[in-house]
Amino acid sequence: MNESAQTNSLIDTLLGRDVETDHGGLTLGDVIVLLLDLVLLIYTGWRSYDFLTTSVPQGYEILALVGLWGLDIGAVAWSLVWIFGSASKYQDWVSMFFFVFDLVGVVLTSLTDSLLYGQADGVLSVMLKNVAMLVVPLIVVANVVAGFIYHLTSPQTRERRAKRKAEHEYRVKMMQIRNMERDLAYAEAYLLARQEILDKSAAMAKIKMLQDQIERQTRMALRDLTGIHGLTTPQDIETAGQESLSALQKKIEELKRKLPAEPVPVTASGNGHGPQGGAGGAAADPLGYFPEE
Amino acid sequence: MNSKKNEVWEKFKTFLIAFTKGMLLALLWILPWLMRLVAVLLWLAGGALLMDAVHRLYAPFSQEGEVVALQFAVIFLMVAWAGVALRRGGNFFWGSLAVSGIVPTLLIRYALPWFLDWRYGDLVVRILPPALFALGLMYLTFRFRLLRKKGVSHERVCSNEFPD
Repeated sequence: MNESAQTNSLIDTLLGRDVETDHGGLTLGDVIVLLLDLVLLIYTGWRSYDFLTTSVPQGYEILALVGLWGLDIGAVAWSLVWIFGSASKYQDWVSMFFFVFDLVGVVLTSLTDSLLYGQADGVLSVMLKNVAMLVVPLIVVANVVAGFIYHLTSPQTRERRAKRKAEHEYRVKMMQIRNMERDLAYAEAYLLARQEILDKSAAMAKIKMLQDQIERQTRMALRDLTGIHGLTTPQDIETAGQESLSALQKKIEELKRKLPAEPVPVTASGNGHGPQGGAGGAAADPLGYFPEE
Repeated sequence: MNSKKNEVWEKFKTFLIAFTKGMLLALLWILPWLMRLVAVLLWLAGGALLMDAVHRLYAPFSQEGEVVALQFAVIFLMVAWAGVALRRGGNFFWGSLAVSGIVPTLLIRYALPWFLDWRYGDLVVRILPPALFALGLMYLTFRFRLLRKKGVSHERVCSNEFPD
């Protein structure tokens, strides 16, 4: 490639002719406007800075430079954002609105600053100064807000938000599942513990019944000295009922009369438990924990 | 004696005629370049007058740096005008230079005083730089967006970035 071809290639690249578009690359007019705007940006930026320095305390002039980011630099930035960056409808709206908004601020500060030199007491100067003092901070703050809105409305942010939302819903549902599993585990543990207690209770009750039975038989054996043992067996009591009990009481009275010695007091229950005790125990043992012997 | 005088005079007259003709011829030959030189001088004078006008207009209510920036803008515009004329071709170049000198001169000489006497002239002068900046930036924004939309999108589609 010779020198001339290299130069042409460089110019084509600078003018954007190597980008295939329906409107061609950058023209010389575009480049002239671009450079002219850069020079005018120095003027307007200087004006804006000069105006902003009048609205900040002495020694804090750096704040005026910060304020430029909401005026001249902001206008250029929103322009670049609208050209190259915005990807969604809301981003387009935000960037275009604040591009125009910042340009209005630039014109306002430039005009006001120029009027403050030489015509500071004029009606127009006073009015514009009051307006600018109110509007310029508003523009700067609004730029900050717009930055957040632009970020929030970006497709990437919305994608991340949707993903985060889905993950949150997934976590909530999984937490519900875990809670259900936990509740089931507790219920299972409770039921098993209760079953164990019941088993123990049943065993203890059985032991107590056996003890009662042994005690009753022991007492009955001890009282068999009177010779009435066998007449008041549990079978008799259960089957005979009240009439049998009455008949037994009559027999006892007869035996009392026949016996010459001191009568031995004998109750129907004998060991202190009523005759319904056995039947009651059987009724309270529907699962057959206490088989009759 | 008289005949010798007459002879010298005749020779001198012949020389003068030849010299004048030669000068005229040289002048005619050099005239296009002289006109080109005049065009360049007019262009320079126009630029100088514009810079002086900018200084007179903006110095009373501006700092030195701001005035210099505006004067630099004037220089840039004059050079850009010459560049555009050069790109258009030689037939337009010298005339364009002359026009870029004559028109500002006439405007500053005759139109500017009348304009400044106008009630809102001063306000227009003050608002002109930021308004020009805003207009230029808006033009660039829409223009570049149009280029990017047609160009970059086309490249992206061709690179199969968007399969749909």
